[in-house]
Amino acid sequence: MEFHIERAKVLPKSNLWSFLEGLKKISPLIAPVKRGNKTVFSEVNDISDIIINYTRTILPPKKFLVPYRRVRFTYSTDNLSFSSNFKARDQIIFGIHSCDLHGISILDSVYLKENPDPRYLEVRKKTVLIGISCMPDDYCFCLSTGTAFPDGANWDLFLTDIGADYFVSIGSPKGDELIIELKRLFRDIEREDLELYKRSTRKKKEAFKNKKLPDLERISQLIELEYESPVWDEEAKRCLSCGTCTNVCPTCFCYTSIDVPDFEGKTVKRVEFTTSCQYPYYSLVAGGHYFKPTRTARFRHRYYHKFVGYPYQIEKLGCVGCGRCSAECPAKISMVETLIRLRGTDEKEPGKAAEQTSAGRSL
Amino acid sequence: MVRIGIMGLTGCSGCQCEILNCEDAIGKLIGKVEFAYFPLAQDVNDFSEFDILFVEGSVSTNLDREKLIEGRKRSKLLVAVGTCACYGGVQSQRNDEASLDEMLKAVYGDTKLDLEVFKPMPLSDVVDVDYELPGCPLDKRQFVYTVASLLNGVEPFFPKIPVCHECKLSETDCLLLKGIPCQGPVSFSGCGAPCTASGVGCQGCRGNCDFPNFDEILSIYQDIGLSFDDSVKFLKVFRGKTISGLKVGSSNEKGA
Amino acid sequence: MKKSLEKLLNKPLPVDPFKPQRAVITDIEELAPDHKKFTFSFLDEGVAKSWDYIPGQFVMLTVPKAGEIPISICSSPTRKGFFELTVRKVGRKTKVLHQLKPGDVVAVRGPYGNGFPVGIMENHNVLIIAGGLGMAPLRSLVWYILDRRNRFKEIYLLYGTRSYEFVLYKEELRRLKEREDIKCLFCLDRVETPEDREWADIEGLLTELIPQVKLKPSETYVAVCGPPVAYKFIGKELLKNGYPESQIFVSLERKMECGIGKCGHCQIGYKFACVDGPIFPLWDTKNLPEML
Repeated sequence: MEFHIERAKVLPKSNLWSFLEGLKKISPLIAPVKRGNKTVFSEVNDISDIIINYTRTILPPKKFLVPYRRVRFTYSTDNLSFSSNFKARDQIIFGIHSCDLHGISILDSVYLKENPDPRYLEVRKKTVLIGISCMPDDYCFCLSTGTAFPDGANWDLFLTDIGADYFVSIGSPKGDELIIELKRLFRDIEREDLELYKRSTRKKKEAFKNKKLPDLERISQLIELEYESPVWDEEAKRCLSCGTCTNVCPTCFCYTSIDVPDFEGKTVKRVEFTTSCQYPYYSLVAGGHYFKPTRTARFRHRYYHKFVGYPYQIEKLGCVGCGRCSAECPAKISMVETLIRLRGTDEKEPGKAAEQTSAGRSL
Repeated sequence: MVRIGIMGLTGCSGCQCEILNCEDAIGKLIGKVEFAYFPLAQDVNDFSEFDILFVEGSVSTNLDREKLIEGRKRSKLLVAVGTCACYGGVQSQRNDEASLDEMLKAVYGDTKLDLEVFKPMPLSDVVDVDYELPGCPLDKRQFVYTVASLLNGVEPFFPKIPVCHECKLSETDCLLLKGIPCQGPVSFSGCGAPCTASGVGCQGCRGNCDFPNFDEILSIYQDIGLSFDDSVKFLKVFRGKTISGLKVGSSNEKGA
Repeated sequence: MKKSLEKLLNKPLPVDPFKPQRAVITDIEELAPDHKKFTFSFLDEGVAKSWDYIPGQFVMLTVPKAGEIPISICSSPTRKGFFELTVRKVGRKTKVLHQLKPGDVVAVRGPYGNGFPVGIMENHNVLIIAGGLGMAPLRSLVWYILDRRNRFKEIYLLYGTRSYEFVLYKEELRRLKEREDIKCLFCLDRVETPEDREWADIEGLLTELIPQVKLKPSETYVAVCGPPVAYKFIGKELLKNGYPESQIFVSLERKMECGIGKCGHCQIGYKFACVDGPIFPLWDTKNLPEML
């Protein structure tokens, strides 16, 4: 009997570049490319720039769904008519890791569940998401957050490295259409491919064996109960409030909106820009009151929102374990470390452990 | 017609040049506003009265002071442009390290000066300043935004976000993590982070962001090999008045 | 999970919730120093007709050239064809708003937020406690109740301000005080002038008025709005007097940019003041950090 799976195909690695070339012909193609020592998502003109094996990009692919600075409306002061010449374009984002796909599904919930934002929806409808499997480095903790593997229905294709080939999972009709379009590059799944695919899951899990992972069991409750913990003060002391952690986060969405008039006062642009809860002005109301007055309050708020706020609002953790906030922090504050300290260990008294960490740092 | 004045005190005139570089904006403004006073750019100037007066440079001599006080009296709004006018500028970075006599002696020797000089200070030490646009030089986009807002009777909005914001969002690799001294995390953004993008650490030319964490940044500088004294000097270059009295080791915890 | 995500993406493009409707200022009344009450009506007749709201809800008001601000509605939805906002001149946007004149056009979107649970308050006593500018959203509730008086049992209004000068809606409240179907008790922080004396029932704080309320706590809903510092003391005093904490509702303000749970600024603990509030049960204030 013929072995047959409709939800997946096999792409031989030797066909990958033809596949990418094919994608680029269909729509503008966005993929990871090199910048200095790091990798960033960027629109590609030459597919040979694309980096297939990377660990993490500085910014998540979010920037192609929600630009960091955007004009929401232009309005005329004569008749206050609001207009927008925004038009979403077709785009394919290739090479997204599982954590970032989960990040996008969280953004989907934030933007589309209640009071859906038509602009985000338009962009999402016109965007094809193609994921690729990856191996973790020391900052990754996606195994704890349950985001090490793609699930859900928010992506279109996902390529899993199974040695000589990619196992291509088809997540949506849009993904299926791409496969049909580039049919000649794919072959059907053999039993052996499926075995290799299942083994790749075990291989990624094994790669986490010797890594420090936070235990996120009942994390919402833990953070609520440890709200007054001295760990917050100790970690916040090192925090520069620079906002890097939120700016690189695949799930952060806060923005500030300002109206910018032109010289004549005839037309006004309503500009939205990404902001961070780590900036003092974020909670400042007219009259001069700061609702999050201390560095500790702001530092703690990020954890609180990720692990208590998101679960309440959208029934998912707000952290996908991509490790960007820790990898990019100029003060080298580690989310994993903070979570581990909050939970405490059986080995040492929590107070003692705290002392040792801070002593270790000043050396 | 709205009357605008642009004048310079002690400084390099770089900010005034930068204003002149806003060609598109100035083109649009001519005919809608009157540049009544702008000696750097035009021959005929009238110092009688202004709606908005932009002042560059620090107050370092009695001439500066008199001109500034006079300008304040004649203008509805006074905007300090550039780091010299806002914080005292690079010329004030050693204000707390030597007396005026020592400074004069070192620079002029025994030559007698026929004007009164004092330690360079920001405009706000002498008169009330309505808005401050720091930067060395000031940022053109901010100047245009400020003029547009003020012409419309709206106060401009400048949250004091750190430079890291713009740096990270332009996907520049963090220089501090590479071991290059950078003042991004404690400096006021708005410049678009061009220095870090070309691999030069932020020099803090726009002054402090809201509630900067100097303790941590000093400790990072020392981790990457700067001495404590050099770290403090590095921070002091552009911050002028806003960093004097910095107490290291104070928690700086309270944000409000 | 898979199903819900698919559903999200397969929706048709919704009506843009960020796009405001035009409204004209029909009247401006100076209530107190730096406090003005603005009356608006929508220019589009269809919008004006269908627009409805609940006391305690707010709108995002576009002050032309300056930007959007969240303001609670101070008129009652029982009065149709217009709505009112009371605004204190306190920041860069409200400064511009205070310069506007009748006939000027603004843009408004909303109403947003949950509003007071007026439905479950029916057939109960209602105790309304207002401090300072907190009178604005509660004025909406007062008139909502008075216009549907037979649906509610006994009504109390406690109102405290710094001095008579800062009392909002002076004439209106004076007339309310004469009515039989609502009991009004007013207090002032300082009673100095003859006007203060004529106005105030007591010199002191709202907490001192609470014991004077003659209502059965278990059959009473309480609505509180005032400066954040007051909530702690008012809450404590209410609990001391036997009001169940599930029946006490407070209105909170935060910085807001969008009003619809997208900008993040208004987070209080795990809730958004804009969509989960701005009216919260007192129980929340104990469980959400940084609430008060």
